[in-house]
Amino acid sequence: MEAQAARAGSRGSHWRHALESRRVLAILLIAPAVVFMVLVVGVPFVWAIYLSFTDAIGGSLSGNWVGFDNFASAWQDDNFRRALRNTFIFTLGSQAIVLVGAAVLSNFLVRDFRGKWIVRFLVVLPWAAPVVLSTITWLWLFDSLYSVANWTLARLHLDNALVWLLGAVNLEEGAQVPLQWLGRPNLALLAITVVHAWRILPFAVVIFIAGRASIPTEVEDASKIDGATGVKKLWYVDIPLQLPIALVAVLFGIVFTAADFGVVYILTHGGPFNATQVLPTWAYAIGIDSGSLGEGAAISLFLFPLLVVVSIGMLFFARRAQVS
Amino acid sequence: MADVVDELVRPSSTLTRGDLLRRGAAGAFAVSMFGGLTDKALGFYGPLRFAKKQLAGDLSIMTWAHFVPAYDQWLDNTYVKQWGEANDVQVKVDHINNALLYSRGAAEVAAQSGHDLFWFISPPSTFQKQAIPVTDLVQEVGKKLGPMTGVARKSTYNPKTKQFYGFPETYAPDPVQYRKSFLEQTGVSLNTWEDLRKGAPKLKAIGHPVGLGMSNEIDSNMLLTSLLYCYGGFIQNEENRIVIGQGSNRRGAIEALRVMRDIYQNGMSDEVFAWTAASNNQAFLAGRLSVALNAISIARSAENQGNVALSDDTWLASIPRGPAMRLGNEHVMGVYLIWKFAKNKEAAQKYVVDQMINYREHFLRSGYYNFPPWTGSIKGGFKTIRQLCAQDPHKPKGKYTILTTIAEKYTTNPGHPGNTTPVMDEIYNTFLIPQMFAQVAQGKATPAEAISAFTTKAQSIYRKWRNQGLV
Repeated sequence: MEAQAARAGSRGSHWRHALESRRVLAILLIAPAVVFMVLVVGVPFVWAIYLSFTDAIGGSLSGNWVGFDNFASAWQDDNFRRALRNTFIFTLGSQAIVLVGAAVLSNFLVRDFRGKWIVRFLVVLPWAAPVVLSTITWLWLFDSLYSVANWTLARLHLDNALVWLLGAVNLEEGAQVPLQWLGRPNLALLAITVVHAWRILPFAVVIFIAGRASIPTEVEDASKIDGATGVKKLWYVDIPLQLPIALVAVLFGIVFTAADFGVVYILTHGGPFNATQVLPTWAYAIGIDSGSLGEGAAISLFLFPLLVVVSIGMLFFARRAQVS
Repeated sequence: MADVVDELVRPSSTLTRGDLLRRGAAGAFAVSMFGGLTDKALGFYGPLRFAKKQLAGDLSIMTWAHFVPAYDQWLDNTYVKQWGEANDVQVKVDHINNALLYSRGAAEVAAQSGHDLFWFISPPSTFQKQAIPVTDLVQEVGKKLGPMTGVARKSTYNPKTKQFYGFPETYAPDPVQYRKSFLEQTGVSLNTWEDLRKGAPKLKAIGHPVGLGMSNEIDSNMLLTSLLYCYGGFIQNEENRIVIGQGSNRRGAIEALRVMRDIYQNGMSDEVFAWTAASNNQAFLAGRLSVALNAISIARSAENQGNVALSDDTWLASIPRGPAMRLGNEHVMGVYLIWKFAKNKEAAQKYVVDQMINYREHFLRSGYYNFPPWTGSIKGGFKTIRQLCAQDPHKPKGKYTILTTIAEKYTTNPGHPGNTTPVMDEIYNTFLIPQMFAQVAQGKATPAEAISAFTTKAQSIYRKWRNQGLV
């Protein structure tokens, strides 16, 4: 009996000892996350790579090996190339808006003023709302018949002026009143870019505010003593200190926007005349709706190299921000 | 064919095709007898006639949320319940938005799990390798009800595999719906596309433009392919080869593109490029449009909303005639697939047969939306269907009668004169037809350039599916 108890005690002590080891404990703690990622991301990703080299069709999850045919076939299609171009336009365009917007808003929101909490709440709200629901709201705003945007422009007597301006800058010649935000290619590109920016902005603002809060007060004091104010302070003090964290926000925004499916799918379904397709929606149209699974997988993988570079950048700058 | 026999006469099953039809007839009889009664009558059934041969288990069905909501209520709460009780099968029907049917179907196939019976709004030819062929069921129903309509046959039959991969459940004609008063006021006729080309500016001038979609949505696909037929610009031939870039097809397609460009530039607005499938309904019901092409959901919505002035002024007509013919696509082609992984294939097979053998109640409950693929399923065929349509009480009296003519003479399948193949499926799902028309309408391409670009894409799609052995 005593021997058994001693053996049991020894085993328990063994476990306790093992759990005290950083190597074992670290593996145990991180294992669920790793297993989850492997199952949910890794396996489908490897499968997608495999499918992209096959002629698999809807539901089969396997097919004959076709080498790079799917990639070549996709590249020869001008709709694919347009989708690739649009992915970059939406991503870069929206991030430019986000960068400026987040810098301005964060600068404003770190100050003390009455009603600050409600302004912060309103700024963060788009991030909290489900993407699909908020995009449907935007669909109503840009509706072909009941557009709130057009109603507002008409009430302000700006609709005709805007149509003239769009023609004058060669952005959308031949547009009519009321403007069809989702029916003209350039207007639709603009509308989608705005929705993406609106969606990502709160996240960037929060990151920017956190970045500003992390700047030691000693640095602020020192810059004041040295006479750095206004633009000089912004250029020589604020921007260099915030840059790493700002880049993290932008890189996250790039990933969120480039890989987004819902906004384009809900707003335009890729129209008008496939002028607003992006890689995720085009991959879906080919791979899921049309059943060409292999080709759809190949289309979706075109984004992979870009996202790898961005992800490496994110990790690099996140680490740098942490160190500084 | 062997696959079908395997499915129908498995050693473990006592169900033969004969049994299937006999019991289908019995089930249909039961439903036809009691289907029209109120829900209170649901509990009444006599002794089961095939007590030792009953089906068993569960049957799960995925279908769309019908444009006529009352039909779904009747289907779920009356028809399905009665059919289930008569066959000792627990039936569960799920409804989803029609735009989600394909992606949901793809998800079920990928998971090899889901519903036993899956209803698609258009012929799901890309899924045919995942479904059991239903050739035997089609043949047996044909023996009972007579020939299947051409539109249903060409939508569900694959001449390459010589199999019916899907069971046609319904099709909806696609009439023109127009405001009688506006057309009278402007003196515009809808007899030919040329009439509409000339009349469209007059309609736009009175503030009620024409509404023919050129957007990334299904209605635009259907309408614009129909316009191509009318001008003899066929995408594929009877052997399902892409021919739109050749000879008379190319000339016809170019002319069709010019007509639509003219109608847009003089008689429509930009809104037609931004539409969803519901947009032309909304614009017509809002009183804006003078002409639209859609299933009868527009007219029915006006009636259901109690908008008497609009309803009484909404008339139906056949698609305008072109230089080549008067012909339009179906608006909806409801097709059931029985997945290979379905757990209760026998019940699924019996359900579709039962439903078809007596379709009259489905036709009536859908407000003439659901036309039967076998006209013999309504005793008297098109003659009876015409009489039923004529009896609709809404004004103008008899306005739905034209539906029968459209269904009988002027309705075909996407891909006419060939079959609805995976090639047509992909052309539709990637919206290449609205793309071609819209680019010409907005001046981004000439008709000849647009046809050439379309032909290149269509031939590439054709080669892909030919390599799969499906065309």
